[in-house]
This record gives sequence, structure tokens and C-alpha cells, in this order.
Amino acid sequence: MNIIPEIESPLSENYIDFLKELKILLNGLSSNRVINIKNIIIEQNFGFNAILLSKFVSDENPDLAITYSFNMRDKNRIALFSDIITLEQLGLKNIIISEGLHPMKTVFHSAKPVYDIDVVTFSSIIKKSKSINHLIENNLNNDLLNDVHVVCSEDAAYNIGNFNLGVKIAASTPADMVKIKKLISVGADNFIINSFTDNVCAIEYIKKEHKNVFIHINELEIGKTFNSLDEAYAKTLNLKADGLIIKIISPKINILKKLQ
Amino acid sequence: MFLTTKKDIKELVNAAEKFQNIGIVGCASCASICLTGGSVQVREMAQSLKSEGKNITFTISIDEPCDMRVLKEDMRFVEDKLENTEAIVVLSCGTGVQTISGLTKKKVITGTNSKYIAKTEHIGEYSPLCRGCDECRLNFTGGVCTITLCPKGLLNGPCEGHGGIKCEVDEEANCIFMTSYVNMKNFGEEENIARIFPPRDYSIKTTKKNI
Repeated sequence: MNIIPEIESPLSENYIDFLKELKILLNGLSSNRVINIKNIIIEQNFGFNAILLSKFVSDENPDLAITYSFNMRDKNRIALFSDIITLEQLGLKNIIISEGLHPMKTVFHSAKPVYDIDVVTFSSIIKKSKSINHLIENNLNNDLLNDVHVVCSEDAAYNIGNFNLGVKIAASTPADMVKIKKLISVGADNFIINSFTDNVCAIEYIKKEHKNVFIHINELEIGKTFNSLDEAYAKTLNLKADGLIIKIISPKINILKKLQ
Repeated sequence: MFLTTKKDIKELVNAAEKFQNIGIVGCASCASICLTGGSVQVREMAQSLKSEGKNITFTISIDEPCDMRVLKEDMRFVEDKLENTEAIVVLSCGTGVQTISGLTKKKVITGTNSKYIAKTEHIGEYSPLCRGCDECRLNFTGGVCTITLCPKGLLNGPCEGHGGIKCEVDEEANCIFMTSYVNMKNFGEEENIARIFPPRDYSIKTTKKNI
């Protein structure tokens, strides 16, 4: 089991500084046996465009698998499809999607939340779509009275291909379990549980379906919810999850740099 | 019932700055129930505007100012006052305000903010249950509207941010997907629990057609 760092697209720094800091972070992490520096997650927030950032990091670090993480809060289906096409063209095939923290819980308190498509339907569209035509046609299936019916044009202009799709979920209630089952049915590959759960059944269910499970925590939880990173690591091991994703909030805190 | 709240009187005074002779129309239906446009509020508004030096040409409470049939009938009582009226302060929802504007062709000033279609628990206690999306899913959701009651308007299950059974945004409220799940279980609607809703069709809302 590995620890995988997740880094938000930075707000105030520039790309060059970010890449320098990332290099320092990666060098620091490479000396630690438990951290899998073959994987890094770059999450789009309100900073720089994280697709560009992912491409830069990927080009500079060919041995590093980059996962682009984004949410349903900030973009409608047109913009999301555009991102999917861009990711495909750039060869970035690992993605994580989430519904996203509501704007009221961010510094952009009064921003309009989008949530045009939810994680389940977006996952379904990504997994079914093989082309741009397919993306558009999937989008048309919105009649409550009809079953989903996909007509795929064979002469597709763009190939969308297969994404390695991760989904952020909660796993504490029966309603979460229902969502997990829906996501498995539409073909999600990896399940990232947002914070620790005592619901071992959810993890066992996902593993039984041959999907990967990761636990996601914020580095600020170390020292609060957990006494140490070791404790969080041990708890993840105990849950038989495939990895622990730690969101790095600030280069100043960066709990991973403090590891020996 | 369509819930409205009172606007700050300063906003109304600013909006009425250019006009001296003002009429006031209240709504004796929804706005009366939520204490924003009943006869008491009409009188209070008249007092407030008088104290700002305005001349009140007429006051009237209309049963349903959003209903053109009722509006036409009732406005005949103040027909002779309309000619000398420069602006009408309307204490109703936005539909009433615009219906009055359409009928009288006068400058209208709204005295309320229109909020949502509401359930009335008691006078003064209201809650939203429907957003008028034009694609009602209540037959498949255990009778609760997740578009209205989930702050993210999700269709296919809770977000990743909720804390246990509590909502991520409104931490006092339960996640509506738990209520939906429990209802569907109780009603024996297993097929609806597993149902995946396709994305919403916003074209329905974009071009509202007259019926």
C-alpha cells in the first residue's frame, strides 16, 4: 500500500515556482519507502489550469503517472466534454471526479454552483462514450419516460478512448452504498473514500467487484484526527485499502516533507 | 404558496425617488400569508412613503394580482386614481408585479423579494419543497425532491462531502438522499433505489412557453 500526494492547482504562485516546488517535494519523497512517487494527483481548484499543469508535470517527469482530479461544481457539460477531449488529446488518461465542495463552503461564497451533471451520470457518459459524437448523443438521453438509449455514429470525429476513472465518494450511510453500486454499474475503476470510514462493508463490496479503494485525507487532519501520519497509514492498512491519498494544502505545512 | 420577503424600505424610497404620486397594491393571497403584502402591510407601506413626503393616490389589496381576470376586475375600483398615479408599489411576488405592470402600463416598484414555492408550517414558518423544474421526479425518489432539498441539486446520490447523515452545506439538516432512501425502502421501491437519472434537460427551463 502506498501514500499518494494530491496537490491542488495553486492560486497565487506561478507555474515555474510550482514546478520548482514540486521537484523539491518529489526529491524529498523519493527517499521515503512508503510513498509512491510514481503517482501524483493534481486537483483543479480555482488556481491555474490543472490540465496544463498536469501536462507540464507529465512531460518533465515521464516516469510519473499523473492523475487529473476535477469536480462537477465549476463547469457545465459543454466545458466538461471539452476537458475530456483535451485530456484525451494530451494523453492524460487517469482522472478522478467529485461533486465538489459547495461554493458556500469556499472563499467564493456567492458563486453560482453549476452541478449540471452529477458524478454518476458523468461517469456513465465517459465510460460509454468512445467518440465526440457519442458524448453528444449520450447527453441527449434525458427523457424521464424513456430508457437510456444510445445511438453511436461509427464515423466519429474524435476518439475518446478509455479513461482510468476514479470517483470520490462518502461511505458512511446506506445512501452512499446505493451510489457506490450505481458507480460500479456504470464502470468506475477506482473509489476514493473521502475521509476514514468505519463502514468496512462498503470497502469489502468495492474490492469484491475488483475495483481499487483509496482513503483520502487532508494533511491538516494529521495532528487532529490522527496523532501522526503513521497512525493514518496503519488505519488505512487495517481497512485493506489500496492506498492513502493525502491532500497537501500548503508547501509550508506539507506533512509529507516531514517524513523520515 | 409563493414565499416573499419584505424589501428594505430604503431600496423602495430610492426606486421611487423620481415619483411623487404613488399607488400601492397588495396581494391578499400568498403575500398576505407570509406577511409581506396583506392589508396591514399595505397600510404600513402607505405610512412609510408618506413619511418620506410622497403623496399616496390609492391603496388596494387584490385577492390574486397574478390572475389577470381578478386584477382587471379589482383595478376598476381605483381606475379614476390611476391617471394621476406616476408609480405603483406592488407588494406581491414578481409575477404579480409584472402582471400589474402589463395591465396598467405604469412604472411598478416591487416591495418584496420573491423566494420560492413554499410549504407553510405556521404563519412565519415556511420551507421550500419544490423548485418548479418541470421534470418532476417525485414518483421515483420516495416523494422527496432532491433537486430542491440537496443544495447541489444532485439526482443520483449524496455528494462525498456530507458528514454522516448531515448535509455538507446545511449542517443542521439531514442529507435528503437518506430520507429518499428510507422512504423508497419503506415503500418497497427497490427498482427506484437503483435508478440512474440522466442529466437534467435545461432546454425546458430556457424557453418557458405560455400554456
